[in-house]
Amino acid sequence: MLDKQTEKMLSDINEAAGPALHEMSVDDARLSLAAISAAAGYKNTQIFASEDREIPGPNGPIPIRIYSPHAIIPGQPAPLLMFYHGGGFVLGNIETHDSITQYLCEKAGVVVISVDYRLAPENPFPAGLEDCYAALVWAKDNAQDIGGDGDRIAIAGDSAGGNLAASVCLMARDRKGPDIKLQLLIYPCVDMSLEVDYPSYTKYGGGEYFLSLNDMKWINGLYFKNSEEAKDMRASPLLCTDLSNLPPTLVITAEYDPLCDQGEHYVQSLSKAGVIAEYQCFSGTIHGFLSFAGVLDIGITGMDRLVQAMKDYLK
Amino acid sequence: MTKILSFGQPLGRIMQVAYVVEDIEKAMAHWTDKLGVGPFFLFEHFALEDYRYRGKPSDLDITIAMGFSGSMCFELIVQHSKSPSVYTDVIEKKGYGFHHWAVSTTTFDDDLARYVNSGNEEVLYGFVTPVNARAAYVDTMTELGGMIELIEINPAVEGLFSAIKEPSINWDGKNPVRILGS
Repeated sequence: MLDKQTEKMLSDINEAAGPALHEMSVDDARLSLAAISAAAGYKNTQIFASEDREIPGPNGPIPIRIYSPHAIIPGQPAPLLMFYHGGGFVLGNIETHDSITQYLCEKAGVVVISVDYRLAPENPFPAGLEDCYAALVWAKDNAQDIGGDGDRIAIAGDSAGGNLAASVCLMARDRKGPDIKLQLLIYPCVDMSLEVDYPSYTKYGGGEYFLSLNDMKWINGLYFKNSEEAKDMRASPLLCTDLSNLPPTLVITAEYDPLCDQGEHYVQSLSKAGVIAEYQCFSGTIHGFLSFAGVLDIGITGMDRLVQAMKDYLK
Repeated sequence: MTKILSFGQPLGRIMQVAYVVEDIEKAMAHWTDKLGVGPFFLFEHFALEDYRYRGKPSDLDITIAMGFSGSMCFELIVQHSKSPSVYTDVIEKKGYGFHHWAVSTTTFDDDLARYVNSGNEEVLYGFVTPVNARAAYVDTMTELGGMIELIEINPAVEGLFSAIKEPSINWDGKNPVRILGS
């Protein structure tokens, strides 16, 4: 059963957000997400500071925002959290996810680096992913300057950002890059192929629950040059044949989310490969619920679960 | 009690003051430099669905910029197309400068009818797709020297204006012109 606040949120979205994602132009869809995030994001956080910077990327500078939980204490760096925002690789930016990154910074006491990676369709796969990886390497190399601990790095992302986070962990393993202590995958899309009939696609992908299968097809059309690319393991980590030697993982999903099943499958596959993987499905709520924590209490519960994992694994 | 909208202005009252300008880049720079308004969010070729000018479908190509001073939104508008519009009407009458006040409403149809019944013609209608909201202008030039826009309020519209206001709080002057959502 949908929880009461989620039900109200959905009726507000349906009233307020207009046509579905896949029926809008890219510009309108970007605007719509910005408006919804600002309307429903959690607002009562207090962090010490945030700073916008540009760091070198594979194809020009990458804008990032660095969130600091407290002033830099010499000799006592805070753990570092890389955050990759969601928005289907097409929408979203640092600003649309500012409510989540601020909350995680304050409550977990970590330095957060939110990455404004390149979006499709202007920059299709794998441009954004390469930006995300470059930002991780930069963070490792520059941790000290920003009060962060390069030996205690976690990676997080929601939705498309969860896809990027999972892929970045694979890249860090395969390229012998920075050591990751924890990956936090928030209702991630880890199988972009659209070829597996997950029951949650059928049950929750019809358009009543915020994210639909038609939206996902729209996203694939903008992100990939062809459908083969969607099966590349960097695009669909769940299809990667070797998931061993990955960092401890927490996957959280929403019950009424077409992506719910693939999140759970990823945890099972990681466990089989010997990776420490925890899973929590939040019942009664929808894709994106952390972004709506201003109106959904369960969004706060979800963020607190991430905070707990950081406290457990980034000691 | 009057409801205070998420960006700080009371429902049913003025939420925005708008100007028609000749050069929007220069105008934004002046408004930031001399008045501290900003950062501005630019909406290039801002689309209004089902657009009507004085009741008839027409063409309109405008770019708008919105920025805040406190909880008041300021809008700058430049029209690219040549077709007659509420903007050319005002420019022909008194030149570039002040154009309209926008008033927020959750009773759009009633409010519009009230203006029309008291003799103020509905001169613009348009639907803003990404926030699923209507907007209309009524001609109050005779009484007020400017027009009134009615903006239909819903959570997404509040979110849109909040997203524009938020960066203006303690703004350090960086990135004076931005695109919302990009």
